Amino acid sequence: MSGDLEHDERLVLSELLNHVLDKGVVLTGDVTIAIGGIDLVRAGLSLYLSSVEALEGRGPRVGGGETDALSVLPGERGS
Amino acid sequence: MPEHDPDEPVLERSRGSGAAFERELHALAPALPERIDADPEHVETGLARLVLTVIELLRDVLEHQAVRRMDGGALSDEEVERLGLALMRLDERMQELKNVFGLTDEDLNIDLGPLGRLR
Amino acid sequence: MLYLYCLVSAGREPPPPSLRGVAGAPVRQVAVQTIAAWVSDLPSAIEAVTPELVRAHDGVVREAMRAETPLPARFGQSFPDESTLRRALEERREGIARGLERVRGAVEMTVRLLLDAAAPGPAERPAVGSGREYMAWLRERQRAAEGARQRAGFLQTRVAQAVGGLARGEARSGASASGNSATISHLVACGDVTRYRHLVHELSEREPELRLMLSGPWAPYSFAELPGA
Repeated sequence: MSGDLEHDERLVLSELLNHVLDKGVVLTGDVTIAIGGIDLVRAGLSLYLSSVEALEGRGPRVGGGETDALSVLPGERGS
Repeated sequence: MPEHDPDEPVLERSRGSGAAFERELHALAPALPERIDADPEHVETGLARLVLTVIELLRDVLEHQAVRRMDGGALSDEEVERLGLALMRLDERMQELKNVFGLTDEDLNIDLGPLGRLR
Repeated sequence: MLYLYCLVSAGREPPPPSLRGVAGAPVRQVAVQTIAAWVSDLPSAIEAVTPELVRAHDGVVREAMRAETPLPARFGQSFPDESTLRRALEERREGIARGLERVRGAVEMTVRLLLDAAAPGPAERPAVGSGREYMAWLRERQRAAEGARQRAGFLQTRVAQAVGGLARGEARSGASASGNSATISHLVACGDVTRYRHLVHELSEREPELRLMLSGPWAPYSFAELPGA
């Protein structure tokens, strides 16, 4: 494997951005909304969704690639 | 003790893949900011982006559920028609909202890890 | 404000006095019992993302990695003051300690895979049409996306199989925003990096149609998440 140096620098930056912006530890799991430097609202975002069918016991079970229930927490991956 | 060099990581590519990886220099959507602050000019966009991302996430789940119900055979033709029209209108509204705030699908294209991205 | 670079064990060597991070600021260590954070004091929070800032952030993380593998922080996190940071460290102390243990003596290697522009997904959303047509279009789009996901997973698994036991941990990404590539990262012991490269080279030679890009070593950004919220 080999590469042209100039192109590679941009690819390295691209990979660096991918690591540094999307990954890495997030120390707080909350979103703080501030205006003018004054924190006003702190919101813990957590969504748990389940299809109507699943709730009523009529739907297929969660698992095996199905996404009946979806849990999303910012700063975390997957359910 | 790590033995590696702290300088930039080494990068290697398959033979002949240079141009393709070059094209793949896509704009990386920055992570959602943990702190949405700012001067009045930016605060609306930051907040809008957060809210629209959540709505798009919900909309994606709704669309998946709608298709599943349709394929499950439990919906009448009329129900499928109504569902489709409602989702279509919802999609139109979302495009309008995105336009208002100058946000593209990429801006809202969060990475859900193992679930992939929204689009 | 305190800008956060990474989390480390408290007992390790502190940042060298000559180290400079974001905006050329010096770096110091804030410790809470057995864990610590590397930070810079800045007049205000970072609001932009530029290559210089990102390189500065990663530069500090790499410096930390000389002595001991840190948990790299995501770019852009600031705390209004030291007590807020200390509180956050206190709250997550156990998770952080476990996280540090998990990455001890290891680095991250990343393989980016080009995905074939396979069966093109459906065209743009139908401008006008019946609800039924829209539903059919949704179904096709979802199927195309699922197909793309499966193909990416298949390629990622090929890499995982090639490196086998060298991987202490694995992290897969979904398709990129463009849909043209996906990555798989592995947590690899420092001493195994050369062998890891060799195995990926071999895979690339064996399967030339598998277009991949190997990069590393990285600090373990993909393995830095703390359990729970």
